[in-house]
Amino acid sequence: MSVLVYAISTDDARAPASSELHEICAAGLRALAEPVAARPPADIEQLVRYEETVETIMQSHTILPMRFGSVLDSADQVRELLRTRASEFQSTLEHLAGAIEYGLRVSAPHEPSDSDDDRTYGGPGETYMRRRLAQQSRSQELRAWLDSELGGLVRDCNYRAMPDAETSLSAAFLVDRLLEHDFRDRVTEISKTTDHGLSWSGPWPPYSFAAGVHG
Amino acid sequence: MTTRVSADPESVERGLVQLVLTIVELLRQLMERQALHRMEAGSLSDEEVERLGQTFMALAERMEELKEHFGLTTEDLNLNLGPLGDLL
Repeated sequence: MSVLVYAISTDDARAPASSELHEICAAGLRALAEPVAARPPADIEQLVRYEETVETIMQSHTILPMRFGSVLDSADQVRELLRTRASEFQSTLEHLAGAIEYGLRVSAPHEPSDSDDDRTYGGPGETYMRRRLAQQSRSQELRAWLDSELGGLVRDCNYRAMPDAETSLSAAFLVDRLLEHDFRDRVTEISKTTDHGLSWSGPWPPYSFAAGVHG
Repeated sequence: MTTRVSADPESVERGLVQLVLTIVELLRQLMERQALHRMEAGSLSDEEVERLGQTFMALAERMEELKEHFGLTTEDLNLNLGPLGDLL
């Protein structure tokens, strides 16, 4: 029977009592997985259930959260996966130990300066290029600003410039649980004092910092 | 690695489209960054900036259409390179 893998953790991890997850062990690692007859449909109900289960596991263990739909043919294949990539999984687990992820999106559109207004551009192509230059510069400024404001409170960070039309910069922060309240207080503080639009979310399983395990 | 992940033809086709579009998007972004760098350095004429801008604008619009057609998001068009970070 196939298995849907929710997370990989160290070999002291236990499946939540309320769940029907199986523990599959190899190479000092433990995968928490559910036997399934087929790949589950990617509907809202299944996604929410999957995410809630991963978050429940995260409450008591450091985990490598798997992407929804990580189905392998059998428990033996899961063991083989754990054995063949044990070193990579263990080093990533060490990096993530005791930490959770927070997301932050910054909306700070480029505001045309007086000199911009005075300038007559050649056409739509040049206008596009100048807008892209301004957006690029804006993202770099925002990244430096977040580094200076939050750098001392995070273990790691991932930035993505201009992920969509409304967002200038999105960031994922790996935050030590012991510093979680300080981090949230600091984000609340800077959101009150800045003109930029800030929205944060979390805590999340550390998807952005375990992405390499899905490859 | 000998581990096989369950796959059906539909998901394989989607994965292939995703990979192709990821590579196209990578090339588009690389070319655009190079053009922006040259523009900043002042090594492009006004005509060249206009022509490149119109080309990149059309490519960006076409990429949005393709993503919508295949039900992909910007987040889907990325590859994680482990210690090297994300491709895009």
